[in-house]
Amino acid sequence: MSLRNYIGYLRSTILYLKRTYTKYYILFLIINASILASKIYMRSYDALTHLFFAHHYARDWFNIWEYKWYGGFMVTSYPPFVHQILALLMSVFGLEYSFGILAILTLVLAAYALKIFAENVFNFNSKLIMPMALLNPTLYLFLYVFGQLPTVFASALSLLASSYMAVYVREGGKYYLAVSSLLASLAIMSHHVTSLFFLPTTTLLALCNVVLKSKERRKVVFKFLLFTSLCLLISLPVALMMYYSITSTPMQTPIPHGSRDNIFSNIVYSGVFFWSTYGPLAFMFSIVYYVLLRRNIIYAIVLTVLVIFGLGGVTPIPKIFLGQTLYNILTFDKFSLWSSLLMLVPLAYYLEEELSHHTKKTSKIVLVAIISSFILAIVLTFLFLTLVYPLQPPRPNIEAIAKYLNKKNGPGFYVTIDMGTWFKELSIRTEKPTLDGGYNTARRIKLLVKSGVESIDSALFFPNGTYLIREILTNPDKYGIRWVITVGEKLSGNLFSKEFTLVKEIPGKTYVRIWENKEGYEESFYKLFKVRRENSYIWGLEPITVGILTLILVLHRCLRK
Amino acid sequence: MTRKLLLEVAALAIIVVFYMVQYAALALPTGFNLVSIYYYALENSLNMLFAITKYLMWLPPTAVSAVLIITSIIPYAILFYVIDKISKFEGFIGSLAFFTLTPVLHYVVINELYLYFLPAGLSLLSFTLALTNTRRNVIISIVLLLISSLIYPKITAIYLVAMIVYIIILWLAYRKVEMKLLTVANSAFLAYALLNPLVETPELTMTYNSVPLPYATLLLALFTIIAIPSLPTLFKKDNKTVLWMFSWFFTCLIYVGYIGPLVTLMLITPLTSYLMYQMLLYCRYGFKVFKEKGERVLSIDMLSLISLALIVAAVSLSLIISFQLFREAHEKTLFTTDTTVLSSIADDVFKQGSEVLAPTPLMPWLTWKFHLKPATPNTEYANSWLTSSFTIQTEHFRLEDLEPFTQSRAPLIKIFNGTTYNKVLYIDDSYVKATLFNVKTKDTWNESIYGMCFLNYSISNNGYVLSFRSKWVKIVKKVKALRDNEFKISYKFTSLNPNVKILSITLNLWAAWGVKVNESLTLDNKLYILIAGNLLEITYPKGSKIIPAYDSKWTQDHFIFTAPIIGREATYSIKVKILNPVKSENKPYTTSILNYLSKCSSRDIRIYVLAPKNTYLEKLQVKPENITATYMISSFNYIQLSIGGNVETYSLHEGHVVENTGNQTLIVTRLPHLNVEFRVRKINEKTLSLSISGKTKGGGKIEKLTMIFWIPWERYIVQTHITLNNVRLKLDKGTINVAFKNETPQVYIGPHPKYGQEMIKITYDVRRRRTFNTMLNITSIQNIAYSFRGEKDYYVVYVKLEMKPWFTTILHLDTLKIFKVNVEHWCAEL
Repeated sequence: MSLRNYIGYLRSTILYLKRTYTKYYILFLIINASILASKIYMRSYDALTHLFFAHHYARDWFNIWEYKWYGGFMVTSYPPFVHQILALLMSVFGLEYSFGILAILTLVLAAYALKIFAENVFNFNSKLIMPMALLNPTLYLFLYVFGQLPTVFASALSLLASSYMAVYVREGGKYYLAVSSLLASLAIMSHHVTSLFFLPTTTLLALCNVVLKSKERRKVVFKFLLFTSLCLLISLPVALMMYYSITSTPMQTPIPHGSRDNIFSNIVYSGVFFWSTYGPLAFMFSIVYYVLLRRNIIYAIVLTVLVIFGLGGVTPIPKIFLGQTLYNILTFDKFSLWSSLLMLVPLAYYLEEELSHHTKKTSKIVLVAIISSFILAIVLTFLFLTLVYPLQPPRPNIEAIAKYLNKKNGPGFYVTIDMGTWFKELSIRTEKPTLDGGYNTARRIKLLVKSGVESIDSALFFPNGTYLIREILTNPDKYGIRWVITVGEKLSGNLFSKEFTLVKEIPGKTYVRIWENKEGYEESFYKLFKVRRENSYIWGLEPITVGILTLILVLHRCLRK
Repeated sequence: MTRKLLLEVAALAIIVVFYMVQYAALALPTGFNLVSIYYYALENSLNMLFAITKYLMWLPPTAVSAVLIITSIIPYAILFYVIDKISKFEGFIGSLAFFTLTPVLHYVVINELYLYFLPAGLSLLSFTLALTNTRRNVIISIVLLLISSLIYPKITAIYLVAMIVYIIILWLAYRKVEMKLLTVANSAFLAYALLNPLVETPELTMTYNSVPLPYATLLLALFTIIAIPSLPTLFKKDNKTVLWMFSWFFTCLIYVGYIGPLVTLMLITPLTSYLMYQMLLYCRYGFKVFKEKGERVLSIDMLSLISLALIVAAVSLSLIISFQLFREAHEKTLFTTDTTVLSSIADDVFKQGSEVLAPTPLMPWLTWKFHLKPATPNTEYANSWLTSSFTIQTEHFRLEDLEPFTQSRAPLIKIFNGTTYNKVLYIDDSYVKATLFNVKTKDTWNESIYGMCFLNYSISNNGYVLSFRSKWVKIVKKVKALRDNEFKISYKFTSLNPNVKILSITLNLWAAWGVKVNESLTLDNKLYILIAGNLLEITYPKGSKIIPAYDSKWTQDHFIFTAPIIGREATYSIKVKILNPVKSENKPYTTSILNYLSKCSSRDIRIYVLAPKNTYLEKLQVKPENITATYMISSFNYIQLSIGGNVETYSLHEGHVVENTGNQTLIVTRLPHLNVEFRVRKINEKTLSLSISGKTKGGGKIEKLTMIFWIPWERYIVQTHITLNNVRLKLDKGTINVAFKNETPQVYIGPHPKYGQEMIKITYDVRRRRTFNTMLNITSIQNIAYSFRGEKDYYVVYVKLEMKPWFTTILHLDTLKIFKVNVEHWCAEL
């Protein structure tokens, strides 16, 4: 082939890309491929918690008892669907890539869900929403920095479920009833807070839009009730198990979280919970409200409520509506995620419908500016979090620590101090149990329940943390602690004076010391530590069955089309 | 139109000049919180006003204040012009509106609250401009909003809510969405979100010296009452104006808990003037005179009458507030600090990087202009240090003690009267006396802190302890705040001589100058005093006698407390309780300049104190005093020689002066069996070296060498500290240190067995050597000097100290340079 032909192909490709949104999809692929290659999400706050759960399912699918954290806890305290998918992916792609792959799939799902939502709830068929959602920095922040994969996954399912529900209540059809209720129950089985707040919000928003335009309102309401009943019926077994598990664990003393304060009185909090979560969208509220106030006032109200809740302690409104107890448990950054997702629809509408009708050129420039700002925000966020303000300390030699612990026989908990998220990886890799853990809602040990501290590992960052550490280190026998693993120099001096002896030093980017309490811990250990085998086939089979069924239904429809 | 505009401008100019003259004459030199602005300016905090101020600091303080006032007034002037224009108000309403601002403006100027006043004006102007709905004005509005947020972002939150309220009302009324207004609201939200955590603004509560705005809540209530009927009357004329005034006015009122009544007043007062004007227009139709059956009848509408009464009340209240503000401001002024003093300080007076303590209004300039560091960032402490050496402040009282600098106010008792701490009583330590009796000599005399040696002090978070001693007695004085309205002062006398006993203690409690005791009553061991509106309960030890001495033309009102106590130790304490304390929000603290000065002496930092005249610190100007710390008499320095088995003692009084230059004296003594050289040499300002070397002639061997340093009769030893190579002697005035260089002698400190005079006896055991050579250094933290006096057959070497009396025993500050800045101020370099 001649050079001329090559240039010709190149030109036509560029022209094609210029005309369509394909360039944005390519950008999406480039960004995500590099994220997947760098495995940056492993440093996120929660990714390893979810991988820990996934690892549990991969090890022992039907057992709902996990012995490695908190002396043993029920995994039914966290919705299983996402963890089970991760467990399946893990067997093919391995521990580290499984999360990344599911995160990318979740991004695509969220973008698609938003497109369908805009079509069915906002009555706006847009080609722009997909690329905008795929490059929305909020999603990247939640997936790759916060590691909240189940939240985003459940949010996408909620959007899809409410969209199909809207179609069902408007047009009818068993297919839509089945798919919407299956999707809604999958959302419930994916993330509890999302199913408590976002799923009802999107469903009601969809319903209101249909009800206001429909002439057969009673019929619509009846259909909605049918959808709700079916959804509850499907998710009830799993939901009940979750409910039982959560209510049977004692109420945790509130753990301080920045989003509950006035985030605008602290630059770090406002940076994390407002500027990062909204990114460039923070500057587009006026456009969004301009569209919504004229086109869909209910949507505007719903969005306003989500925005206000997302601001957490800035206004007293969330506390008034949720009550003190619920307010102290929840973190409000999720509301910002949901509001940023909903903001994309009116924004796309403004660009595609309103602005392009007036001036097509300006519309294109604005679109490019917005997408560029999205990408810039993503890049800046990752640069900031890797270079300026790393979320986690450098990864210690987890394999060596795990190897050492696995070699040791006999009972005893280990605890880590200042290891960051890597202590969760250690609990994946070692067979030894830790008194600590990465999912504080499941804690039953009184000291930890009352501590107001997220984990023993991160205790030094919490107001009550020094007390907790001191209590544990001065009474290791009382809590069955055999090993203390410290990173860096912190606390090493303290341990010298206690009953611990330094048994192993592991050099590396972060210097790890393992201290051992030689005797006296056994009795308490056996009191606190419980190994059980509690198989639940409903818990193990239902989510994945419902998931496969939904997939078959959707694929079947697509293939028929 | 042009004529009208000219008239309007002229009216505005007259008002502005009127304000300027007032402030220049009254307020500017006494600005309270000017300092807090400038401190922040110096700290480079992200606040636009601080940044502007920083670049203005090359101007004198008054000029900076003037610039800030003008800058703050400009947005209001433009605001009135814009409102007149968009709402088509008639006449001189803009100029009139300025007058309603008077109390707020006065308050702002007196308290230097531009931090709130300027952004309030900018926000209002921005809000008003946004409503004009033109592209240019909206951009200007956003810029103004941003500037306002850069100064006080809290107002932006109110702005945002008011704007949202306005948008909602507009939407409800007209079903119209203004993209421009939404953009402004969005900008307000973002400005608040970004700048609130970044921009540092000291809160109103931090302005420690602020005069509370009298009747602020009443004025706010009056304005609200006026606004409620005025808004509907305006509705006929221009409903959009009513809507924005409504949304702004009531959002501000709802947020009163967030920003406080003062800032709320700043935000709503400009609008109130328009509403009052509306009300006046309405009232015009309420009073009608018409003819009925040939008679003139006056018809009065009741509502108009009430409205008029409200306006009159609001205007009168504004005037009352203005006058009261000035009165209180002057009452509260601590120092009439003349800021022109700055110009009289030469540029090279201060050494860069040193610390400075000065009246707060001067501090920023001193620190900025001369590159000095403030002694403390806490302006409250700085002011306390300039007024008293020890200060205890609680919610209800403030004790200001001038010890150990002077005994006259020790402490001065001030009680909070709702506005300020008012001086009420004081104790003069020279009148706290113990009558002593010497059992041996049968002498009786009085001792008080006056003239005593100041030993030490300690300070806690609610009190302080001072200790003094004389030759015969030690006094420990304790002052402690027991509660917010109660404190205790106690004096513990301890006799230092077994023969000296205490017979009685007397304490005088004086009414502060210009204050009269109204009434007093003694019940059990309690004295009740009604003085300057305060009812005080003073608890004194049982068995004491109280002699009230007031209602006399010739003496100041006072009470004499006496207690007969026989023993070597006695404590006398009084507890003062305020029975009618006035509620206050003053923060309690205890502080002392001595703590600061001693820290400085240990850190080796040069400090400058620039104090107004007539403060107690003027005592720093006391010239160094020359005292004789010790002396040596040649006849009491002797050597023991063993010659052929016999031990003979030779005194060194027959010396021959070989050299006496002023800095060095060499005395040579030639004895039959011994030659001795005694050399005194001043090494530096602080050190004197004494060396004795000797060589025997023939077969004599030296056994011992004894030297005696005599302590003059008028001195007494406070403390001694002996180590192997060192003797430290703390005298009632001055401290000397004797360091032994070559050999370690035996040291005895105490009275001479025969003469009773205090001495330091140094004995070297030479151990039968033929030669000896020893040296000792006398050093002092004060400047040292020596003088030599030779007479017929003996000589005396005096070691003299040049010292500041009250620093000697405790602070160790050795240099004190004083220079006059101008008549009203003096400056000390420590």
